[in-house]
Amino acid sequence: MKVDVHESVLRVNETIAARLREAWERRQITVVNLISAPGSGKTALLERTLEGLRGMLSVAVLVGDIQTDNDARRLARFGFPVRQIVTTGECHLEAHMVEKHLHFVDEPDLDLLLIENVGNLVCPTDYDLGEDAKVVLLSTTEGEDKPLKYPAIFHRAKVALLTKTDLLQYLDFDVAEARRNLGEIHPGMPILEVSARTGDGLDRWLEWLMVQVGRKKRAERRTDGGESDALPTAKVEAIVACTPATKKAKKAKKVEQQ
Amino acid sequence: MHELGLAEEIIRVADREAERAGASRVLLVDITVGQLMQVEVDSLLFLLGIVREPSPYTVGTTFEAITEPARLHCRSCGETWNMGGWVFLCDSCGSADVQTLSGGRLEVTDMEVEIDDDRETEVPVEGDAPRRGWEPRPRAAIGGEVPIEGQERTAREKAESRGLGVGGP
Ligand SMILES: Nc1nc2c(ncn2[C@@H]2O[C@H](COP(=O)(O)OP(=O)(O)OP(=O)(O)O)[C@@H](O)[C@H]2O)c(=O)[nH]1
Ligand SMILES: [Mg+2]
Ligand SMILES: [Zn+2]
Ligand SMILES: [Zn+2]
Repeated sequence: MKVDVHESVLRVNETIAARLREAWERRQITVVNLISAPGSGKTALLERTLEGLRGMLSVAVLVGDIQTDNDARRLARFGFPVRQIVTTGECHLEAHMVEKHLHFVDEPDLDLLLIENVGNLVCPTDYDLGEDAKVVLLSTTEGEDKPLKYPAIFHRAKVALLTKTDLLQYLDFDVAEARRNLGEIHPGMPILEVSARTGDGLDRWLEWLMVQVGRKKRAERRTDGGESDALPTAKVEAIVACTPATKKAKKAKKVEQQ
Repeated sequence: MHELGLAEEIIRVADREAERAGASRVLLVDITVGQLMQVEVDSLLFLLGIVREPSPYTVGTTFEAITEPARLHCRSCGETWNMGGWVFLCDSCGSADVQTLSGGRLEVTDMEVEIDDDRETEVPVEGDAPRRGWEPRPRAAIGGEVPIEGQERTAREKAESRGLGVGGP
């Protein structure tokens, strides 16, 4: 006898992710899922991000690793709630892990939840965590053909960060080629060049984050019946302009130019 | 990399559907894998051969994977084609306004099951009959975890989370 099933193999994950997304939609919380190969600089970027957002937004971090709480230790220094998810073998985060650990870092006034996925370019692509955006990191030490080798994540991400740009001078990484490859897999995706080491390009990354936060709040207001923007663009820009990371980045640029 | 978890989920779905249909065993499971999904079909089929073991329904089952091609559609010129490499620019006009029509599916599509009436005409295979009251394994038993909702956060936990928290999956 034939039985029609048509059931998604990822149904459990999809159900929980939908539940999370709905709750975050209601609370106007922006959620970002950072994905990269091991060691591309997710934690280093988050350190700089938290440093830059201190005093601006209410931020929380969930960080997934197969073993150790090292990354959470590094991130806990900035005064925001951080929770390590040790997956003990699982090479990606799943929505149920996020749901289980969320209450450890959640705050009533939370604006932004940053999720650092397990270092892996493959399966995190398929596991929805209810996020607004997947952010993919590609470091300059990995080779400009990485997007061709692991195209799916570069296609799915909303923005790509080219990290460790301070190392470009020592490498023969071809930025134009990397951009060309990304442009075929995901035409129009913004590509931001950053260095967590020097702070270069961090202003644009923080701005991108702020815009996502602002948009989510605005979108919610509009459906509520049109109050004024929760976080108007001008304010977003003002916030970005005065973040410590931005100032440092500008200073570094000036020094470089001299 | 995550094919083991997927294989286990497929067995759970097959078990549940077999039980629902009042079947004695599952002969065939058709799985659809979209071209855009990060699934290694060979690994998945290999692992299905291993994880079906404890289930009486899927002991002798054949698993087949069908690839769902990624169909792309250009909104500028109207062209529709199957994705070759991972290029999302229009084949004919070069436009970047390309829409994905399919290729994201990962599902148990259908199954061929044997119900008890059919069995009478066949030679029973030893150890093939389902035990009564047999339950498909819960997620927790195979490494995952049962989803937890709305856990209350204690004051201590809350204080701890201000600094650093660590927990299992
Ligand atoms: N030169 C330089 N090194 C960097 C930069 N960002 C990160 N690194 C170094 O790269 C290594 C890995 O960085 P992490 O931030 O731990 O990378 P990750 O992606 O979080 O790694 P996993 O969590 O293990 O996947 C560390 O030694 C960092 O100091 C950068 O912008 N420039
Ligand atoms: Mg890390
Ligand atoms: Zn995985
Ligand atoms: Zn076209």
